[in-house]
Amino acid sequence: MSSRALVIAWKELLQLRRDRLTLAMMIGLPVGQLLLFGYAINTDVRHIPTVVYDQDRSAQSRDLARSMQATGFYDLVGEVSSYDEIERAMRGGQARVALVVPPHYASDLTRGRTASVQLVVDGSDPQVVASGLNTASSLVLARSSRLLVTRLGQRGGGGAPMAEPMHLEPVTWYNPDLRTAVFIVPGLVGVILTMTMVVLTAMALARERERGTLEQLIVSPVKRLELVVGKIVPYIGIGYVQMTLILLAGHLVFAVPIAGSLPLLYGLASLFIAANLAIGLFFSTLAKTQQQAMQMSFFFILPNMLLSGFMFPFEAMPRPAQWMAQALPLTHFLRIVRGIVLKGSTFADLSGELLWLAGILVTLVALTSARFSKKLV
Amino acid sequence: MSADTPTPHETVIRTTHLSRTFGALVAVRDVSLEVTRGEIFGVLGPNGAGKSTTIRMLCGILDPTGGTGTVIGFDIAREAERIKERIGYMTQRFSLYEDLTVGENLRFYAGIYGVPFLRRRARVDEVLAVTGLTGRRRQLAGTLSGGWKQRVALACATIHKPQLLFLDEPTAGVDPVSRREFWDQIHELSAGGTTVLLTTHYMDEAERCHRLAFIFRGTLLDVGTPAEIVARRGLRVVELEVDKATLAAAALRQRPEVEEVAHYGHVLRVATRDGADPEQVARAVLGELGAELLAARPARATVEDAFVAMVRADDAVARAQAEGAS
Repeated sequence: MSSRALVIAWKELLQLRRDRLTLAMMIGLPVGQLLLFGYAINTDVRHIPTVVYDQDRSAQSRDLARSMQATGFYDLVGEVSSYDEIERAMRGGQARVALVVPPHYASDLTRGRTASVQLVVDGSDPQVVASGLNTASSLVLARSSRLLVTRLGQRGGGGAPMAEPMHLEPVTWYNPDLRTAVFIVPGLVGVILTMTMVVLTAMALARERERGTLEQLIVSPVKRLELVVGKIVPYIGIGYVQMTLILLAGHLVFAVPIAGSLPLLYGLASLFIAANLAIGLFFSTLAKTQQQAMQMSFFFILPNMLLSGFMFPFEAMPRPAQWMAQALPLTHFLRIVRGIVLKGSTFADLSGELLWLAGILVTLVALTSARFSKKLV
Repeated sequence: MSADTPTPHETVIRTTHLSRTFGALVAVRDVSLEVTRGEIFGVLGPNGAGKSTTIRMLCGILDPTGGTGTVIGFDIAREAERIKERIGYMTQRFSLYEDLTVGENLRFYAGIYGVPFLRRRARVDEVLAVTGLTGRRRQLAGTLSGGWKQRVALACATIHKPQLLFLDEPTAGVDPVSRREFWDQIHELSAGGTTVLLTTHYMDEAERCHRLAFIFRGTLLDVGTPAEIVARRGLRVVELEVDKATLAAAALRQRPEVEEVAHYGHVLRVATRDGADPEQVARAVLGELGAELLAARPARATVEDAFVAMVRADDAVARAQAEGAS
């Protein structure tokens, strides 16, 4: 290497040392990715929230439910007493799977008839469907084989072929064909909005700072909240245009059905879009240049993709990752958009997510207004 | 009497021992000033002397670390937002929104500074006419030349008819003709009762101000009219035409009574302090050198001469202190 190249390399290192943000990201990014991918992300879906609709109310039916819980794949979160209640639990996101035990389950078992149970699965997340069905099928098959062996021993061999002791009837709701597009398109609305909205406002303040117009604004009588709101509101319109385009394309090209209320979706989306714009603006108050703001935005996209439930089911993540995910607007919007588009969720079903989004938005606006000082230095 | 209706000779800006430090660096030290209504007040000093820091404290966007100040009757630390409504401020790089047109920039600042919606259009028209910008209303600000940009920036800073205008190096990078027109506008504003505080390091511009403050290394060295400041230095100046000008200049600089020697083309400009006659000193020095004096004309001492003299004196004091300390 020539000495000039060395001089340039030396200068680059000096600059890098003073650019704390880039340095922090160069170190933080790989560590963060490693942790997210290796630790938080586990495609084995465990702890699927499950409700039991036990019409039999026998020792045998309770035993079946207990053995499902014991696999670790299902968390029994409640008992329901009708299909309507299953529907409500699924639309509100409290349950992804329901075990339905028919009235004469115990008597079928004791009389040697085939005892059928039903597993209702929320098809709006294909990975949950796969894990949920596989585990339950193996469980039922294992119990069935054990029963068969017992009965054969009792009868002492020979005779007519015996009925299968147990049978699992899988039912998939909301996206019964398990088409990936149906699952991905609503999620994409959230992901694309996150990516673009954060970048839009992250640049906005940094650009004013770089061009020197920020000092003019600071010295003007403009109030901090006025500035924050004024920087957010116009971009909400852009967010709506994007959302409409994706939904329209999804509907026309991929035949994604829209089960719920569009006005409800658009209403709730405003909070989500505003929250992302507020995040961008917050980054903008931290960044000194547009480039730094850009870097921060990209750094923010990653946990969104991995933790929000877009790529991997929320239930598949360990608790700490779930806590982190709760702070991301995308986590809540994904539940909203999938709920409305795929399951026809109503306002009441989604009020919890609405509260989360509103809370995140208010916190961010307050934080940004506080960060944006009307003083220099 | 409300702060919004100042009477003539009213004090618009008053600072007492105003100071600002950035860590170990003292940017402004003990600056006490008073500016009255309608004055064009120049803050003069080299780059990094603390001019911009002073202006930013007066605008309420930088808190002082010591001393106090009031602007239009409001405390600069505690009532900054009240001040911001009443002043105009043109920053050093007079940053406009380059992707907006001239008219859009003006409308934006009219809105930000609270010109009522229905009056905005008329006010923009008025400012455009006064500044001769009407023909450029639809031009993107980014495509304007330096002189035009500066006009638009001044128009933006005065769109809400502020009673006090801060201009931070308003003419940096602007051609001489535009600068002249700019100064005409400043004097018109002043005649209309607007107080103008500006910073500059152009000495010819300093002479156009009603009063001046000299700041060097964050310290206020002198305040007064240009004539007062020059007179206080007690300088006498002569312009010489000599052969061996470089040698002559070097020899002249050795003399204790010589304040300053400067080259202006073929002319040497020599300033002496303490009332010494510069022509006599020059003749003596040139005689020793064997150089020929071709012509000598007495000249007027300028603000620049005064400024250089003050900076040198301050340097000498600082050196003496440093030596005394070591």
